[in-house]
Amino acid sequence: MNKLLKVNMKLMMRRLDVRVCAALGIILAIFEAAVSKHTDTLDWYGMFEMLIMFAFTLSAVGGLFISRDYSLNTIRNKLTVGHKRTSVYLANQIAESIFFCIPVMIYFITSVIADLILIGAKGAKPSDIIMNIAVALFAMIALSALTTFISMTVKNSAGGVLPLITFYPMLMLAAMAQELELKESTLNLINSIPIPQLTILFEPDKDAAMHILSSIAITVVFTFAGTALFRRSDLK
Amino acid sequence: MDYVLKTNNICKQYRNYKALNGLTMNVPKGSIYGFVGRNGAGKTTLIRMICGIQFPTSGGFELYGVNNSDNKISEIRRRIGAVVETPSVITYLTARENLEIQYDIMGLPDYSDIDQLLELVGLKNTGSKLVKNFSLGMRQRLGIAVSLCGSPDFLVLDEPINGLDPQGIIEMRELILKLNREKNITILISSHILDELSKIATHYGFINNGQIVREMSAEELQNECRKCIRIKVTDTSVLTRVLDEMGMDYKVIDKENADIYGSPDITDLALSLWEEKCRIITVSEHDEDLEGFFISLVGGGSNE
Repeated sequence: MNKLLKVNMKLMMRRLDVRVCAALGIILAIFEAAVSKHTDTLDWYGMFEMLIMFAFTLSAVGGLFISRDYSLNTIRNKLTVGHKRTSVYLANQIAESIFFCIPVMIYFITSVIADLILIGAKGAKPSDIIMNIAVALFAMIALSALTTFISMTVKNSAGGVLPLITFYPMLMLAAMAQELELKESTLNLINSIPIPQLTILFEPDKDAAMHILSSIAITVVFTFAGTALFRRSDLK
Repeated sequence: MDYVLKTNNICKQYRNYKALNGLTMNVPKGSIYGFVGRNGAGKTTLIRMICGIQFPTSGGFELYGVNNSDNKISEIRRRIGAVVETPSVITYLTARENLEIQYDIMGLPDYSDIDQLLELVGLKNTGSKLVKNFSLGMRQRLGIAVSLCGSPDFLVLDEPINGLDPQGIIEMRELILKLNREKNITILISSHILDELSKIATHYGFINNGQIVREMSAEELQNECRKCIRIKVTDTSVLTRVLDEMGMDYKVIDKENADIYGSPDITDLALSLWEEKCRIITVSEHDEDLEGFFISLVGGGSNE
């Protein structure tokens, strides 16, 4: 699996869209801080607002990265030389998680620097911010698991676009959770999904541990399900 | 005889369609095995199974004596290289970078053999040209170079000369022969261009409707296809007696038809048959090539 992971990382580094995503982390962070400063709404939780848009972009690029392995048929090169299917899947999953997390880390680091420059440490509670960042990173890993699952299950170019489409119902649920008066059990269910989790990070997360746990559960479930399906599926 | 690949009653079913229907074939070590069949006969399906891309519904195969259900099959697959249908290459990289990636996938320690591989397939001077700008023939050759990474001793080529120009076809033929003769690589090659296949194959497997209908060596095929005179008579028992007396080599096809090899004296033959009250109905020269043999074996039409 290490060999495949190394190959995935090498190929990602070669892709312009992947490098643009890393640069986008810096651009979005500066943009968010500058606009908030201009509208006099800059605080230490504003940085989490841009995350949903960023997650959509990462999912599209990440999904296309995996689906390219099918559209170019290069997945055959891995299987023909004896790599186990579980290794192929997990190498893709780990590469996707790294791809989702590194630009987001760049985004957070840039945001923190921008906030420190523009408003100083005013209103900053490090423990809350670190907890929110942790929730966001685990949510990103869960989204990467979902992206990998869809791309590896659809097995063609559509697998690159489908994760993006799937995110819209999640966003709708997030909006419903905030706008409608739903039962607590329904709210908890919706909040266990990564995208709605990201929408509640605009203020300190009160259920951070629970959200991290649900992200881990989503990651594990989709990874196991994806691996099981991929192990049995016929490829072209 | 040692066999690199042995399939045993292998079946593959997609819903109501049987792509492979109890296929049994044997690829001898060191051979160039020509896998001949119409579109949809099941050639690519079998190749995909050998490469681990698809799974059999029932039956199985052995690669170097290891069964496909054995855990060791992944390890054994390191000994094979394959180009299945279209070449599997990364279009946004150069030829050299594609080979580097394949070396990384296989965990090979260094890239020292890459130049040699590029030279072997005639892509040494492509430099920084990206694969997306390659012609189909160049991609095909790069696909073969990728499959040769790690020096495999069994090469599976599915329609390797598709899209190649005449010069490319000649180069590909020479490459395949070179790999087989100099590096002793066993090659399983499927092709629709039977004339081309007949120039390199040492063994043949004819597939139709997911089954092997005939497996034979090139020598056996040559014997079956050799030039002869096909004669239709009223009684082949008389004909055989006359031919035996004349010391001719022949093969009786049915009650009325027989093939006579060599150059018989037709006048003598006609007179001898006349004396025995056997009439000649037709005489024709018969010279079957691989294409003709294939058609006579599986009939016309299509599987699609």
